[in-house]
Amino acid sequence: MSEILNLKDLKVYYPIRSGFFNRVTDNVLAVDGVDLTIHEGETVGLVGESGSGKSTIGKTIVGLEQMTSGQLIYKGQDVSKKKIRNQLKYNKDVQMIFQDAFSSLNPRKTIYDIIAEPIRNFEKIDANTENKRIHELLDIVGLPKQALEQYPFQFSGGQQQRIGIARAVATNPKLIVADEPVSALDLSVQAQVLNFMKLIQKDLGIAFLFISHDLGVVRHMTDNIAVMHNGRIVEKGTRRDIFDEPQHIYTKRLLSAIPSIDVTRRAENRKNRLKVEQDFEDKKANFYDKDGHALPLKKLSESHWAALPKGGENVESNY
Amino acid sequence: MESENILEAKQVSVAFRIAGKFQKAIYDIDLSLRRGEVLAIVGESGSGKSTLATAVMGLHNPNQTQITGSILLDEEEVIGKTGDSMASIRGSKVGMIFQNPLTALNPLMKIGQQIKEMLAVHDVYPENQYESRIFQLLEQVGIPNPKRVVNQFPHQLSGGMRQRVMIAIAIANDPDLIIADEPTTALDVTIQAQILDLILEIQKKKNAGVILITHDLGVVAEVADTVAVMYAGQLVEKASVEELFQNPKHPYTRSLLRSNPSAETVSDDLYVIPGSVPSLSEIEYDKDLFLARVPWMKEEAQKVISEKMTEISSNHFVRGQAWKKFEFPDQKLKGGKK
Repeated sequence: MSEILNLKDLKVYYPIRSGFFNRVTDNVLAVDGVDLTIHEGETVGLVGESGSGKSTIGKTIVGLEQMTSGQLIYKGQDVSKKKIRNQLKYNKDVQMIFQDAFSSLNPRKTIYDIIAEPIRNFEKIDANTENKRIHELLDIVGLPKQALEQYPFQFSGGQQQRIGIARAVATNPKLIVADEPVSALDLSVQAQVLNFMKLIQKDLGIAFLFISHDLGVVRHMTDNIAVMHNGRIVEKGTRRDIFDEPQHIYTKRLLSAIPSIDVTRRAENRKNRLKVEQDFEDKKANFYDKDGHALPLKKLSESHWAALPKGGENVESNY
Repeated sequence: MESENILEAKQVSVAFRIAGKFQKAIYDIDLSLRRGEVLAIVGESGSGKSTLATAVMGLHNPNQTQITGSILLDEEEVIGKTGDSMASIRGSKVGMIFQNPLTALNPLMKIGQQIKEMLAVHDVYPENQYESRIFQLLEQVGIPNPKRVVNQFPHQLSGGMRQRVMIAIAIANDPDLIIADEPTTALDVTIQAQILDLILEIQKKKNAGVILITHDLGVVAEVADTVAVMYAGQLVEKASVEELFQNPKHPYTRSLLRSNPSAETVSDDLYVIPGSVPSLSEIEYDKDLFLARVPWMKEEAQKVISEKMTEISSNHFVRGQAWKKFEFPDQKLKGGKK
């Protein structure tokens, strides 16, 4: 598999202005030096708590947020410059699915116009071909024909999310950034959307950057996972690396906090969670520098990286 | 003597006025809750879980809703109570924790004042103890610096801290029943674990009953003693938490469990429940409503079923008889048993 997108030392700072002249007095380091690679047709999971910078990365990739420094390499070229972006048709090839489908759809446009918008933006095709394309897309997401004349509010949450997906795949993108695509949905609808995302990935070969705080969903969907905390990646690896052999204390803490549906092991899980939580508090100083930033990533195996301290006194792991 | 059951709901129905007609949103709910018990109510959005909770709290507008049946809260009838008589129960006997603390808290009032307001409505604590009680509460819910927090506004606190303040207000007057409506849905997993621990700790200390409304099956498995599953305004299954997760019977419960992408199951496809919850006007309460969403059980869906749930083993109740025949399509193909 070849690389499709490569983030190199990506930094996004939000300035804090204050004082009489409204000068920049400090920065919020939303994303502070992130390296991440996405291959063709794979799903990369990006997890972390709110405020960890995972959504900022997603927004920066699609161009909704300006990066402060770093590189965004697409097909071997840095697309942080607008000219190269246009040359490579980057904006056409990279699309986004939003958390709140309803507010991402224009309430005054019909579904037809909503799905047609990206096509009209990027491709010059006549009305007939356009019509055909849109009917195909509607078929892919499994909505009835009459939906085209309707408006977003006439659909349920799951259907709205599928319209969002239809719009995202309209331009045959190579990469879709999905920012918490199912966290607003009920279980049954969530299953529907997740299955559906897997299906279109198989059929169309799209790569996903799947941003979520729900580790159960991430485990179900992704091949590779990066765990973020305070603007930096603290651990990345394959699904197996992260779920079966987590090395960083923050990853362990996150995993132990997932509620398990295994009722018989309830007391055990709870004890384990409290122990990991305590561990996190005790060892925090070793794993983060004095400003609370994660340490640089260390290579543990071909696929597995973690931000471990130099001495590696943590090797006696709980797992 | 204090009664064993803190909550006793019998044949509770709630109907809303929609376009001039009253339409039932929940129908014929029987539930009871002991002191020290944690009851989880699960179901999709629109299944009526919050409607039930707000009926217990007496928060429905009497002009727009019809509530029938009986809800005994510590042996006192709640239905029919309005205004002041309900206000004295609310807060002192039952406290509620809402999903979104930012909208539930008053944005223009300092945290300390909001808790004080709750204490002042009831006479559980005398006025000269208010201040010490406020600090005690904030410490109890694990707020690190109570002296500073009492003078802050809700927007200055993080989501987890706001939810803690919500809990402090809900338990300010030592209620016997705590209703938590999706208390952790808006929070991160690590904070969620802390908040659930906190609710359980308070519940144990006070020996209060807790009704936990959620759609997260993992949360249910972690904290509940008893689980009630709701679908389209009716209970479809009720059992102890061990029984429900290990031996689920009703097709809806089994479908829900199967569509949950938990860390344990790494199968390729999740089960999708086809269709959606019926709208209020289409509901026929004498049928097993969920069967309309099981395409291979069309005939069963038309059958009129008994109004009461059947007790299939000790304290395990299931609605209808369809569960005896229900199998997922892939299980049917293999001819295997569940």
